[in-house]
Amino acid sequence: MNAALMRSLWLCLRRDWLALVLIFLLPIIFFSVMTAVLEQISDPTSIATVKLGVVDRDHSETTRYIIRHLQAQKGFSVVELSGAALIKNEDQQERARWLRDNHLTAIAVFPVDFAKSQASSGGSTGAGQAIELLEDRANPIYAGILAKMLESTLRGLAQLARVSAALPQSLGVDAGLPGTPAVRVERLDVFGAGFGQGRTISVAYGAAGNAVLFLLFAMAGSGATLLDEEESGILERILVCGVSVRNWLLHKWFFFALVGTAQVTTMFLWGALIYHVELFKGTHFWGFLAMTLATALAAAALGILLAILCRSRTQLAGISTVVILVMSALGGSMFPRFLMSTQLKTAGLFTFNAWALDGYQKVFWYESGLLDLAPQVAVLIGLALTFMAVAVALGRRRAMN
Amino acid sequence: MSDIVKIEHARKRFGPIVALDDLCLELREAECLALVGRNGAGKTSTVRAICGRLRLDSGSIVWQPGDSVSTANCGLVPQEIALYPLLTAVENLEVFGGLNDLRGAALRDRIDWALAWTTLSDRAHEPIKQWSVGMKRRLNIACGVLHSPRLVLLDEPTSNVDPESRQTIWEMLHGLRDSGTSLLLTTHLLHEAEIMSDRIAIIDKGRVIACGTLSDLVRETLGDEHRMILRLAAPLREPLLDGARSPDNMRIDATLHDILEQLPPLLQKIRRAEGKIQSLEVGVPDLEAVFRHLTQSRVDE
Repeated sequence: MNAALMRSLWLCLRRDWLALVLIFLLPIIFFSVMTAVLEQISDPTSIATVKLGVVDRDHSETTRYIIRHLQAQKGFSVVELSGAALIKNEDQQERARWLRDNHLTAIAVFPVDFAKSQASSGGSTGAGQAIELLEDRANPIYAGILAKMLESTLRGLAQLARVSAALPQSLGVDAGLPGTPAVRVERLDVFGAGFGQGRTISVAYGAAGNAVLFLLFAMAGSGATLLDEEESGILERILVCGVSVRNWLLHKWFFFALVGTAQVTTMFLWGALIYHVELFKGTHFWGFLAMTLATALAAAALGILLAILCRSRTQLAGISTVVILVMSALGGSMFPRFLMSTQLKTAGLFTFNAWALDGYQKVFWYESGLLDLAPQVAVLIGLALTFMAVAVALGRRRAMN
Repeated sequence: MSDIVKIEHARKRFGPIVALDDLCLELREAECLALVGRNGAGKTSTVRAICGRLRLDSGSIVWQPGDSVSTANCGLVPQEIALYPLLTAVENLEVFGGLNDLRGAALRDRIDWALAWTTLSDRAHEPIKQWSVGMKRRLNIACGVLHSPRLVLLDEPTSNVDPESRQTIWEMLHGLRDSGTSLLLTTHLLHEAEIMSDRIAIIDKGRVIACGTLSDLVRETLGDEHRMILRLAAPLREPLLDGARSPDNMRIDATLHDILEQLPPLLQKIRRAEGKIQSLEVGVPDLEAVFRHLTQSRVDE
């Protein structure tokens, strides 16, 4: 180990506050924002309320019941509108104005004789008069969800009415006005007790995904220092001092991998501190360390290889951005792999993001021991060595010309 | 003086470009040899070959018996400012001293010497990013000589510096040469080569076309010729002298083979044309005249 070379790398990094921010602070900020967003998505109660206007032209017990039911639903904010206003102004412009002025996602209009038509249809879904749903398509997702929820509510009510009608009155269930739902669904989480808790697992997955993504960007940025040293003549000077190209690259690799490990560890420590990622539970830390070292070595080697392949910083910036984004998209850093098709999952195995994330999942979700991480660690180290071997060969050739 | 290193019939091609074409050169102990030539003549390739950074297609670099290219006997000052901009002067010196195996007290002593030598002691602990080019150039040189090599290869060491800084660098290098260090200086500033060097090698298209002291080069290439520079107050209608360079017919730059024979008729001609002489200089030709004569081309500084 050449102390002077390592010292130069350390001093350059320590003085470059922008690089430090990009390596250590930006990933934490991004990770925190992403975690906040993902938590919101995964927690239905925290989803922004869907504001639904209701116009009841039927004024029947059934429609009152449905409206009360919708009002009781989490995630709905039901506003009853005066039917007269819409009855008078049913043109498109007026409806649009209603939606816009009341900041509504949609307006559900229960037509006159809605309850009667439902009763005469015998409870079969879709046979009675339809509820008219006036949507603001500016938010197609919410509008779609709303429509499905309404359909689902009506279907549930129809089934409940059929079940209630068959039960004795002594059970306290009124066929016409159903009270507490008679059917209760019990949900069972196979990986619940004794395994990682759902919230921290999703955070750990997010942390790993973001960590690998930012690690790649950081390593590509670090790789650019190779081009800087070549361009500024520092490399020439280093090589004249008796340091071989191989040694120069190996020192870079080792230092970048250390920085990468520090970067990922910082992010997970943040996750442990703020989001209760179970970094220090059981064998988690050692598994994490093994995966992080292997991933950092592979990412650093890729950064170096990309730098060796490029002739300028501009080339490196362009090529590395494309490579990193494609690898991260396929490898699960940007989008969970378990939501991908089989073909994409297979394609993802050609990226080391996928192997890294599989490893982290094993550590934090499946509680795997160190030996179980062998395939992931072996692939990552193998890729790292391959990248470095190619980089050294190309670097030697380039340096001697 | 014995040779410290010899380049024998070095050849190197980069694709279709011939960088070194049967180049032969020897560097002697405790001398300053200036390698002059146009851009792309092969100066940097020669330097890189000597310090082992260029694999020759053929030919060889022969060091003094018992020596080889190593950090102990070769120091490089690249053409670029090869320093870490975010580091201070001391940190840069520590890094490059460390890379040359200097440690502890020896390193500290040499850093103190280098800072005093470059007159940068008062700026020693500032990051060099904001420094002037002249200051960076001085530190650039210091990093190449910190480990006291026997031979220092300086590739355009005064590139882009102001005259004052250039003078300081020349004084630094004179001191280094006087202390017994051999210097190989590449430059396209002919005046710099004249001032700095004991011997001058003119390189053109990868080949040394002349080598020796300035007086040797003048004698060998121009014989007893003299250079005349004549300035007139106003341009004349017709050329004064065949073969003279005078783009505006006011400043005449010519080589005189025989002063006594050629100068009187020229002065008579000016009188007949009612010309008024502002100044007249006659002297031994300089390196530029030699270089022009040899390469048939003027080197623009």
